[in-house]
Amino acid sequence: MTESLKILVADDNATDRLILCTILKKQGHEVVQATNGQEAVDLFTECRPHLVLLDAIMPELDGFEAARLIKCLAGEELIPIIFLTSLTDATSLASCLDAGGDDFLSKPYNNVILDAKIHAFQRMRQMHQTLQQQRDQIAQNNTYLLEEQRVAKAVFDNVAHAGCLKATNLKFLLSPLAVFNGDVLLAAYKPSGGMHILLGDFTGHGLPAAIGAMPLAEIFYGMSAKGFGIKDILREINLKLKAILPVNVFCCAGMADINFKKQSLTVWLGGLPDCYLIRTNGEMEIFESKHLPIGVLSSKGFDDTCVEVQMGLGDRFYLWSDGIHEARNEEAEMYGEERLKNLFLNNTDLDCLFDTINDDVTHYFDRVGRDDDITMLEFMMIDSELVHADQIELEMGAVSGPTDWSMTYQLGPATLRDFNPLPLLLHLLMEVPGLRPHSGTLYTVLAELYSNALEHGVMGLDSNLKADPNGFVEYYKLREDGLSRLKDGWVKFTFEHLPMDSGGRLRFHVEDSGIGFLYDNEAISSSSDDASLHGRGIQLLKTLCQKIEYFGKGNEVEAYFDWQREA
Amino acid sequence: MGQNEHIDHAIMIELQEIMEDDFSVLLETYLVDSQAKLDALDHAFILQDLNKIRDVAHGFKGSSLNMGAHILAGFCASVEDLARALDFDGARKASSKIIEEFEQVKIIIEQKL
Repeated sequence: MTESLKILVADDNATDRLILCTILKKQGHEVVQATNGQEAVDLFTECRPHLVLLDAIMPELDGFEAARLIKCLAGEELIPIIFLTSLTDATSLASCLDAGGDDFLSKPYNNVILDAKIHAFQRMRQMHQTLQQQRDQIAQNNTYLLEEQRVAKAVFDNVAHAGCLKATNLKFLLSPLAVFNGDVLLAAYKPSGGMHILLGDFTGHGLPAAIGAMPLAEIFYGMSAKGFGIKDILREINLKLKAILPVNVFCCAGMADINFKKQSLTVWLGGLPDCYLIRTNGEMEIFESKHLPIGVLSSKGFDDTCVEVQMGLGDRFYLWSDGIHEARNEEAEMYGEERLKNLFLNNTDLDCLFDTINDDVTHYFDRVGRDDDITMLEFMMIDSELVHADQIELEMGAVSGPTDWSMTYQLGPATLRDFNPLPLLLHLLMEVPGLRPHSGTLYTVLAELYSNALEHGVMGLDSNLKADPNGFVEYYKLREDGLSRLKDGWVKFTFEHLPMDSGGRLRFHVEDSGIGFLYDNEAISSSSDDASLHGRGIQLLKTLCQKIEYFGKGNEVEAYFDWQREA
Repeated sequence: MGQNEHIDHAIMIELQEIMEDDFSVLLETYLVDSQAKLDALDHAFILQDLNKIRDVAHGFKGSSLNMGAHILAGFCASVEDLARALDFDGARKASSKIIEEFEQVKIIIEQKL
């Protein structure tokens, strides 16, 4: 059964009105009666009926004019108007619809038809209401969404400030809301004076795409400022993204490390389209993505292999997301890689190349409306003297860290048994920004020195055991047994760091409670391969440190690690 | 059959079903309303107001259709059309048919009261 409606009936014919009102009341509706057009309009305002039945020809105000006014008063609400008519010519019927009428009912009235029509309009009215509620809901959701995006963008902008994207040797294209397309573009000066750039393209759109950009930017800027190298940064970003992003969300990215002094470019590309390097003589080199995107593989599987190339002054390197290749024109054809490559091949003025690409892509989809999903970066190699010194100072200001200090750290038997001191010691060393790019080397040095002191020194294991595979197994068994039963002994680390002209010197001094061994400092400092050094990793240490020297009975060793600020 | 009768019997039965107890009220309303329309028509002819003649004839046609008075409605339609065509004399001649036919309709309706 239909819900009861309030229906306005306007007809100057008393007979017709009586029949119609009786039918409507019997169908359960509430009826409001008007005898002319003006009365109909007044009653409409007063009673707000759901449906209006209107005679076309009436005194005062005819039905056509009344219909126009009522539609006007109804505003967004759908108030169906049915014309009551004995008009039969097409023109008159058409003018009923022109005036805003939705249907006709001809005389003589038929209650079956009238009932069916009211039902039909009732459905239409309900649909219209649902539509409007949904429209309002969508509008409201959209407002929320924009507000959320505004807040998210404000947070993102704080985390991922523009870095040094404004440097004179960089040009870039990035929509203000690119982060919601999943695109990120970051550039930072390194404390050493070099530059890191990163272009990322997260899968998906909207907030899910933007969410990973924040830790990415934070790690990129934080680690760059602290002097970490490209591989460390990539590994850390990968570890973080892998840990926090859902399985189907990852980040296609390209990162470059630029050394202005060496005029070199070190590039890692994962999941990005081919990137180009173009030299001042027009020669092109193409870099392919050799890796999976960031956030896909575990740390173990992650490959940080980079490609290093020399760049001449004025040579340029281009990074872009696939937005540029996938830009579509009105025929829905993609811009494509060939078109982009041809721009490079036909280019005669490198200074204009970036703008040429921008213009060409923009022109390509001009008529379909600008797609904002285009992110592109041009890097030009410049003389290290031209790299803004003030900006480097600014970047370094907060991160100069401790430069002149020393410390001693002694580990007793219980600690030696159960605790690995290496991460703690490395962490301490990493507080010196200049040492951060060397974290891998320093870890190796620490590890060698520590195992020598613990295994050969404190526990007195014979390094010659490790000469053959069986001995190796035996060696580690003895080591394990020895450690678990360790009752006395100690290892003492002394670190001293001193600033030097353009870098610093880290001195390691490691002493153990063991009996020492016969050493020959001369042989160590020369390049000869002395048998007495076998198994103590001294050859390795020699290649990593500036100086290795043993003292006393051989239970004290000192190593120097000198670092230069690269520029 | 119905189209040739003064009053369409089938429509009368239907109206009777719809109106129930109010059926006689409807019949009376129609008679009073129709008499008023005839007076209005007469007055419009005196004033030679063709628009008025057209509208009154149109209204009379509508209520007569609803009552099943098809022949009467047909004469009303003729007057309406002639008035629309600005044929005053034609409309006046045709209007005499309306008066004659209404007398027939009135007799039938009064019998039902």
